Amino acid sequence: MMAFVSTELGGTAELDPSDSLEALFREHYGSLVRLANVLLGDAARSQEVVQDAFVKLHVKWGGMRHLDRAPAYLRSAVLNGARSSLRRRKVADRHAATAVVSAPSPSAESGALDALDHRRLVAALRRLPARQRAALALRYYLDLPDAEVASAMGISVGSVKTHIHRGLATLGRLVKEEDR
Amino acid sequence: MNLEARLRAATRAMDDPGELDEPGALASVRSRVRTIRRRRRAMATVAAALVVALPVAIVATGDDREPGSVVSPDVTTLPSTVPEPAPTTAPAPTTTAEAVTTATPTTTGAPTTTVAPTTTEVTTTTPPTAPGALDDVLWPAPDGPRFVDAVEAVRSFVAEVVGIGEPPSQLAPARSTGPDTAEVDVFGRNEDGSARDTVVSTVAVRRIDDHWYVTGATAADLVVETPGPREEIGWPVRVAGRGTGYEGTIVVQVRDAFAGPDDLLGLHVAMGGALGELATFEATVAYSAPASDRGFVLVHNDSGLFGIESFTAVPVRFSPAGAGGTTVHATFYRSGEPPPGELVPVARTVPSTTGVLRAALIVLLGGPTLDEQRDGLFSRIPGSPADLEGVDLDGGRAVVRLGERLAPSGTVSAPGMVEQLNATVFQFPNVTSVRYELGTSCEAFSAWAQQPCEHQRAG
Repeated sequence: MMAFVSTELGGTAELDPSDSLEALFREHYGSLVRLANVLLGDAARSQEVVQDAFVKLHVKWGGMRHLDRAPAYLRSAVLNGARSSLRRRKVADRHAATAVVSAPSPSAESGALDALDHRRLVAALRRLPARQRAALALRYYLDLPDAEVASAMGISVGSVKTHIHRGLATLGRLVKEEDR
Repeated sequence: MNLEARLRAATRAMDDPGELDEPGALASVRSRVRTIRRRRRAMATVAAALVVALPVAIVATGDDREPGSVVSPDVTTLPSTVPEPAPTTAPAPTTTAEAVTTATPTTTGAPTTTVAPTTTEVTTTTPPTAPGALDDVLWPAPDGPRFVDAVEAVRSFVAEVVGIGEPPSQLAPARSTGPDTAEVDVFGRNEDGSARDTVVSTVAVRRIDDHWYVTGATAADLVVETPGPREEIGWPVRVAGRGTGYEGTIVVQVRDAFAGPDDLLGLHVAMGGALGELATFEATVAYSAPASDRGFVLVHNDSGLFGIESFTAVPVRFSPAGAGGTTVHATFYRSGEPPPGELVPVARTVPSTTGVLRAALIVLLGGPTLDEQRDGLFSRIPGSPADLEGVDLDGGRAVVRLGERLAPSGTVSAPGMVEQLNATVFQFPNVTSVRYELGTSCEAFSAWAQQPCEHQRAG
């Protein structure tokens, strides 16, 4: 069985794909599902998208030269999966009478106003086009710099800036509209 | 709290998907991987069997298709001319009579058309033809491969210049538009890679000395209104038109003639219409100094699934005033600790200009090139070169005016933006101070940047 050297998963130990997959899964599954959930607002679909990403990663495992790139690959695969999911859902959403916001209830500790603001903002975020949504999530949820957002989304930094710029502008407008 | 901080807090408060069954999910992933591997092994077995069976089938049935011929969707491929033998040192003689056949209409309703002669690709030979004859040619280069088959010239252009890889685009037979000109339709692709019966772009070709060259491309959903074909362009160049793309994304590139997708002079992502509805788009591209006076503007959209969908290519002339080039520096960041990282000046040779401060700021607003991005560089400054509204320099004091649209209401710039601006402005020893304005307002800039708008040269 082909072995790989991991720099991400604890130094230079040689790992077989099954062990590495499990380690990656333990380390990243939850955070990737949360990222997908920010984008999709659908916990079940978010888990499917992340599982799809792990399947793709495992299938292409023999072609991966650098195991330390696996987390970045997974993140890109989740973004692409979320985008495809959104695309499939777009037609249905366009015909929906109201925006669908599936967000969990705020925690008891959250102030009611904060919770309201959070729900409203995330609802507005989920109404943005998929790429703007992904760019804003990567920038503000994961705090990634433009270069890493670009790498995760497979687009140029200029394009990232455009998506963030337009996404923020639209987000501000949507929130204001709701304030009226 | 500003919008960005509120968004940061909101996404973190609302990310909880509930309880996750991680062991169950891992088991599911493993099961699916096993299934895929079993299927692949089965396919490999079938492929091995075909390798044995195929030569037998060919011997038994014959194969009268030309090498490299294309079966376009819903187009009946008719017998074409006899393949021309590939020349060795000189172009092979071709028939002087126009070989005319008739193609059946495509399902898109194309009328019955005259088809230009199609034969096979030839290999590299000596450069052809009289000086100036290739002036409006985009592909292939005079010293590159040459094609006696119009469709093969287009196939090479689509793959090597436009950059449409897998799945490859399907092409229609060439349609004659004049004694030495023709067009080739490029069909769209479905999600599974199969060809759609919709023409997404049409590539124009011209025959020169018995060989076919690409001279431009058009697409119904990407209409470039400026610059016009063979127009002389300035720097930066404004590209505008009407178009549609997945989520409105339209990519505008400036390239040297004969250059491929990895050899860009400049790129900007514009926003146009979406869901098939055309809307205006506009991009200002700060391109690097070209190698010659000939180039083209390539505009393409994106399928959202497998890359480029349709494309338009407009041949342009670069201004001779820019010949030679001027080198300026723009300062970007390289990721590192502490965030946002290390400031890195990047040299860029732009078409020759005396307005070096303006040129440096335009390069800065254009952001790092794709190569620089791969090297880890990024910019904290949003917008594009079009957002530089003006630069004045009077006795060492510079005034830099940025467009208001850089700063959506209620937002603040990313930390580190002013440092990038200052490093770029103060590279010039004769600039001793700078004032930044947003929409002619110093205060607006300060509110956005959360820093003073006036800065002095350090030290």
